[in-house]
Amino acid sequence: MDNALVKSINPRYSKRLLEYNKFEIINTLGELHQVNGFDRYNQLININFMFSDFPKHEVVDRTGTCLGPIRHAVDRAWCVPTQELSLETALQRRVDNICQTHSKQKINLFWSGGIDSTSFVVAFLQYAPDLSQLRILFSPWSTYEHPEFYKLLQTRSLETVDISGDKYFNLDLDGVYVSGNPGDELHGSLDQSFFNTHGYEFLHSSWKDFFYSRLPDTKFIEFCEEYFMSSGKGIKTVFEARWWFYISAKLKGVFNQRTLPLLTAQHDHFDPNRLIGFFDCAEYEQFVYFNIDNLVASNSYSSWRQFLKDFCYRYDRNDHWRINKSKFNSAQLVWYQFKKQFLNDARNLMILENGCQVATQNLPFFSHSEWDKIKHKYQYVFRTPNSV
Amino acid sequence: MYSNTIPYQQRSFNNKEKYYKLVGVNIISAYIYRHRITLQQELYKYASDSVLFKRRLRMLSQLAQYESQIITKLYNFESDNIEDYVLGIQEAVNRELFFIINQNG
Repeated sequence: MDNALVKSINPRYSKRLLEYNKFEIINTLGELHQVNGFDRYNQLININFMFSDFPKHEVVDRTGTCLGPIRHAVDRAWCVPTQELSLETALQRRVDNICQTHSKQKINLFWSGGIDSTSFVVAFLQYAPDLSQLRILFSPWSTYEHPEFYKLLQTRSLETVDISGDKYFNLDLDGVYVSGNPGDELHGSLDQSFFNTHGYEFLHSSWKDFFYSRLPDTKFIEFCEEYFMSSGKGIKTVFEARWWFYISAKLKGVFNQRTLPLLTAQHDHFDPNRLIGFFDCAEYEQFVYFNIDNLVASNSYSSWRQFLKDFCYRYDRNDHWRINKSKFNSAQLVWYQFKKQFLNDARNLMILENGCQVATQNLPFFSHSEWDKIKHKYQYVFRTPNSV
Repeated sequence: MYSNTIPYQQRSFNNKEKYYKLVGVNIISAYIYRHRITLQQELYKYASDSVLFKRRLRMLSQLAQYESQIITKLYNFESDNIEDYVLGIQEAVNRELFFIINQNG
């Protein structure tokens, strides 16, 4: 693929990468940089700052109206859902779709033990036509997080692979890989610190008041009003604003920066199309779009995504997990990903949509002169300021 | 298995480069030395636990591999800008080493 667009930029080098390509960084919030000549993109970073004191992971606008200095690949442009699907129908259609598209291949399921990954594994167990097509990839930490479900998996005569130890360094399995991404983002990416700091009632208060208290700039509020209209629904509350921002501008950030490098960080070329984010599909958006009010069911943080836990309960009858399980950052794949990158010397500046890893020879040491040696091949990934 | 030999480049260094590379080697080696000693001590500590013993031994091997890789990169690195060295060394000792020797990996 010529001129393949960018899947992810490594935040460790993004500032210097922008500077070496003559962009003027006017402000940095967390790991994100506001760049002169990209006003609307900069406003998206301001929205990100409303919800996080240290914004991380790239902002990639699915509406196509707030483009930034990097030409990112947008796998699915935003399209307002018009038909509501029930949770069960959405999950079933997604499983059918993956199983049919990859009917002659193994489907490797990354199971971390968390809510999203357990939910999509349950969906496969319920709806996949042939369980022998499935292979469950897990680590000891998956079993610590959800020991009861691990026991259940062992009774289902499924192929399971423990990827801990040395195995993840060269994860050369056949077929496609499915992960629980972007489960968080589709459900509003509600982190516990935000919930605990502000409380449940706050989620239903006016986003305008909240935004204005954090950034008293009427132009910013006007931008948000306009941007929120692209959602196709009236965004009034803080949580609705949060949900819309994460689904429209942050959907694949974690997926491309964290999950994808686990597979690209080895010497064999990895085709990114072999990695599938289970929840990254129109079917699930057709469910979630009409059920934003149900995303946080009660004033307890553990009720976030209660419907997914209920879905699992109907399969495994684990009432304790259904009631008490809260979002937990399952960081195991992140540990594996970084260690694999460093020991395999597979560090990157960017990953492109064809799986190509853009890197200078001596990362983590990075200099202007080393970038100059390879930059001619990648000039096309940078946009001209004020061109959008 | 996961080792990747990086060739040394044939070139000369100016005085600035020599100085920055010297300081870089000292800092990186000191950090790696400290972690190596800790891992060696843990080998004794976990000698009766086959799983932990194996893990620590593997981490020692990975640490040695990382040291070889990062020193070669420092050798090959083309820059006489001190900031490039500072950022690279910080990334190596504050972040990469953290993941290399972390017990969750």
